[in-house]
Amino acid sequence: MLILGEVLTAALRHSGGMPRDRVEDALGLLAGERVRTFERPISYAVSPKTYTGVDCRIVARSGAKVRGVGTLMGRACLTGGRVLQSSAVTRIEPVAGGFRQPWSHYLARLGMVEALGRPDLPGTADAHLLADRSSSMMGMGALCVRLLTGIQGSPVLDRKPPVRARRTVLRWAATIKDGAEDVKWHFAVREDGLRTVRLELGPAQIDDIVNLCEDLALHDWLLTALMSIIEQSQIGVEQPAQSVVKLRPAVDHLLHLWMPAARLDGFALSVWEGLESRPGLSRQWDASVRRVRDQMAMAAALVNNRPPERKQLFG
Amino acid sequence: MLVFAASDKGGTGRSVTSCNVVYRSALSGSDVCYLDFDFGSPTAGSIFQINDVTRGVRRGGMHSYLLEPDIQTTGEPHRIDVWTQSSRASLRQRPPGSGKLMLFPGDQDGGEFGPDKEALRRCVHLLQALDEEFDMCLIDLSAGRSYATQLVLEATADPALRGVAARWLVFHRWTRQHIPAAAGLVYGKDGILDVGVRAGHDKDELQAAIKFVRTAVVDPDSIELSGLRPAQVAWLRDCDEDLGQLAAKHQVGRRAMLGEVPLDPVLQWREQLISDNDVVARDIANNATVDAFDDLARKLAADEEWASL
Ligand SMILES: Nc1ncnc2c1ncn2[C@@H]1O[C@H](COP(=O)(O)OP(=O)(O)OP(=O)(O)O)[C@@H](O)[C@H]1O
Ligand SMILES: [Mg+2]
Repeated sequence: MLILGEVLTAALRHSGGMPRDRVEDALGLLAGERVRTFERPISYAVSPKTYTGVDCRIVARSGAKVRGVGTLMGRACLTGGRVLQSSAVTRIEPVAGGFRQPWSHYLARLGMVEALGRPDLPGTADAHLLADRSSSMMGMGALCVRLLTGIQGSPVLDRKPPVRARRTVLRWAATIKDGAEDVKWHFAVREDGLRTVRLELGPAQIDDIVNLCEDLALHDWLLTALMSIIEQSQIGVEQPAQSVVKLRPAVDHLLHLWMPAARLDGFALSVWEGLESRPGLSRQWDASVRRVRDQMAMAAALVNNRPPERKQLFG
Repeated sequence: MLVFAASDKGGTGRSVTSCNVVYRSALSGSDVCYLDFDFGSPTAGSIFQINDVTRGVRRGGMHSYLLEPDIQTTGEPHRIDVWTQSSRASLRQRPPGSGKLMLFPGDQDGGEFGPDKEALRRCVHLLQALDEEFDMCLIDLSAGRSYATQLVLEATADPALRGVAARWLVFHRWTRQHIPAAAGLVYGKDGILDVGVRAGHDKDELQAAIKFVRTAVVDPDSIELSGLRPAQVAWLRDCDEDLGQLAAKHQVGRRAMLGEVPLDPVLQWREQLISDNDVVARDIANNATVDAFDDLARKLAADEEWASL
């Protein structure tokens, strides 16, 4: 079985953290359905699921095409009141015969796209993962943009993002094999703010895979944003007091959000464990955070003209 | 912040000045981008010296992003990182601490177009996404009363962009023809204010967000003119004074002006970015020109310059 997904990640266009009821207003994609919120270990809100009908080409890496009809699942979530993500997901189900069914058929199978004919599933996963940022399969990218843009345009937001950063796209493909014992994964950072994740695993809940990929996308985005802030702060070139002005948004809005696998368990945890040893996301994050804190401490020390006392500043 | 660059007449120096202002902002550490909305003649690629894009890209530029609904839009038109893609060596060394400098080029065979609901929706989405990423997005519009101008006025009136600072620069040369023309573009029938109010803007707020920029201005007191005879200088000074009165009469006077760029020999010769190297090491461009660009970049970002009266 093949499941394809895409995650779009951005800073919420709002200057501070959002009070809970406002978050619910912003994420309420569907009238009547509730936004689910969690406060621990980090505040997290997730919208109800929405479904979008598609009737499109499913293209394999070889160029072979089949027609796909069904629905994409879409949802949005907000972490720490600051990082906004939207996801599009669908399961590709090959069906024999080449006829499109009435919509009621697809509405009874939400979150699934039927591939009419004989699709090349591995080739489809490749095409999905290898495409460049602007060409997304089955309109998944467009769905993510639509969901995210809708929320970013919500009148409850003050339109003042605390950090400027490019939206990143994480595309993923999960192949489920009944007999598979452990998870195989591959995470790649491509140019143009695009990341890909390839997963191979035993039977699993789609929601758990979505949670994992959103969590990866979130932390990758945080790391990317922090590194770009550090780069522009010119540590070591500018006076510490100058650098600190540029580093401040990171301290105020990003540093506390790093909490890998906060809401994950099972196979998702083991993927994170693997990621921690290589490429070592947390190691890179920790090193970056240390640079920021050292710089802040040094600036404070120069102002007060006494040795840095980390405790007082960041106790 | 969104900045719209407009002019009534063509060839006023709108694109060259805008590119240089964006460049100076990036040098000072802001993340900036330049959107070529001059669908008829997208020249920004040539000013930033991007090979193969001197007259726009073949596909995926601003025009096709807005107008080709069959492109599966992912909210991201073609972008070019000027720091890495420029053929100019002095640009390719991105100075430490500088911000992003991104070009969103036009299409080679763009052309003007008429009102289009889908284009408006896409325009709103694009500006929203770029405002998330950049401190300043400068949008270079076609000369005159173009649909591009109407499009962005409608886009900025959209609730999704409310709260995002939007500022207008209207470029004009310092001549008897250009001053009333620039005034007409702002205050005249079907001008920016007219169209803006129809799109849902508050007239006073919009007017406070529009400032004029004088380009290729000859300063009678500049050292370049030191070879002139006293009578000639006196005559130039009279002309300048006349123009000042004309400008004031048309509401294009000092109060409505953000800055002015002197006539520069390098720019007169070709459209390009002026690097510090051109001024200091090569001594071909004038320091005053770079100062003027810096001044515009600074004032653009300074809220107090834009406080409504
Ligand atoms: N300060 C200046 N001094 C001398 N020449 C200038 C100056 N600014 C611009 N120019 C020159 O004026 C000409 C027109 O400039 P530019 O292409 O920027 O104008 P424009 O208003 O964008 O025109 P269009 O409407 O065709 O897009 C160019 O040759 C440019 O180099
Ligand atoms: Mg131009």
